[in-house]
Amino acid sequence: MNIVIIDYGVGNRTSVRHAFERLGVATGLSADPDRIRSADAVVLPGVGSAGPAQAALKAQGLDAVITGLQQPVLGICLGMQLLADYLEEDDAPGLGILNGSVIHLQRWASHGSLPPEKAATAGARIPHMGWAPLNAVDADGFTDPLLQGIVPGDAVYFAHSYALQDVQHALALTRHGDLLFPSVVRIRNFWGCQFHPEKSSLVGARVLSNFLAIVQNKK
Amino acid sequence: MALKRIIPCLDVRDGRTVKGVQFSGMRDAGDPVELATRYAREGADELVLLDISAGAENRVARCELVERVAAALDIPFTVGGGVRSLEDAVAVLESGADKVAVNSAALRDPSLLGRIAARYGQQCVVLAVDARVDQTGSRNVYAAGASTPTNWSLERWVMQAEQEGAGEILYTAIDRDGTRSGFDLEGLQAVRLATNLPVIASGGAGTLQHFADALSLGQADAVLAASLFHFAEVSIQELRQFLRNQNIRTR
Repeated sequence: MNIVIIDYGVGNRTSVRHAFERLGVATGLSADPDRIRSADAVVLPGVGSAGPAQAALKAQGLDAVITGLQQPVLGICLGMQLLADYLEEDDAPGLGILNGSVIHLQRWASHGSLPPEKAATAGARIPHMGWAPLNAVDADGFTDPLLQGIVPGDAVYFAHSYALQDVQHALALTRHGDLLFPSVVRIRNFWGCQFHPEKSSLVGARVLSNFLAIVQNKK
Repeated sequence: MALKRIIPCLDVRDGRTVKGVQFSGMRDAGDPVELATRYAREGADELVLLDISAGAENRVARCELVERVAAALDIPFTVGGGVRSLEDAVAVLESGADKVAVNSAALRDPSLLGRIAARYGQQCVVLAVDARVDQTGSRNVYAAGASTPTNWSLERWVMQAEQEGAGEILYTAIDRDGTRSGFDLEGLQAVRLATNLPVIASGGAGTLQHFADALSLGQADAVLAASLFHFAEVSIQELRQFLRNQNIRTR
């Protein structure tokens, strides 16, 4: 299985690599458009600031490469946020794959349709740092293959100050204060995790091995 | 809402885990990679690794250790100790640490916090702050391994650090460190009021109740301890169960 982690100078690419290694899968780290296009699956990692990250993708022509990918793609944290239309941090344009804007948790009230009393973090600390449960979007629990074997209430590790406001593509939601933000999303062949599966112990490992199973089944 | 976190801390000197009392009198507590993986297996939520040998010449050895820990761990970990510059922070983060803790270097140059945040995001930047109560009853911040008093009060310094770009506060009460007399609850509340950042309580854990007090009365988001875990006097599972019985939600 040929899994490529996109190398665009962001923080957690080593951790993501280690996490796949612990599952017995070697990955390649690359910024080469041809290698990315020909991969069985692509991971867009991300720890950092939106502006520099977006600029790095664009400078290497990777924005167009990513939007054109047909194989399974997994965006992690900032890597998921970059899939959206717009990132408030650094006023950066996103890749426009996911609908919606990525807004600072404290400023949700002034963006979008939430009534102000619902949009406060109610004393919740920012950055949102630590373990929090994944909640199902509907009564059936988790049905997407990425979340196979994950039970609503299972906790995963978050470290972020911004979150996607639009819930249209959400597979799972997580609460911080009074805010309910999408913690797992999917549109077509693009999945995204706002949390860090590479740092979320057994639950995170399950998500990554589910991703590998999706790739295997497509082959 | 983030669940409350339990964080074992490894103080590392020359590649071994050590633990002292009030910052001195070290005892050997084993191999850091072995301890780190044991804690992850036992359900630690996160890990902090403080390199207290940290001289400039130590940077390479530290990165090797960080790499070994990173390869083995499936939970987040923070590395601190002797992080003096943006270059040191980059080296630590590029070796696989999830967060970097800065202490004395931020006191010398507070803009260091913002420079790390600009590159890796605020959530990667932990301000480690050591303080003790002075004669007037206020908390004074100390630099250089709790040896040198500064002009900062605890409250003013954490406020400043938040503005500069810190994403989390690791507060150690110097006089409690290694004494097992309980966390500094008043200090924790003061930090909590001064900033909107998550707060990790450190220094003074001795009993299960101390942890519960720091999380409820002290309103900390996470509790950190070293020797209590290393010498297996308190297990993480036991602590988690104890907190659950007191309605404190953890993973």
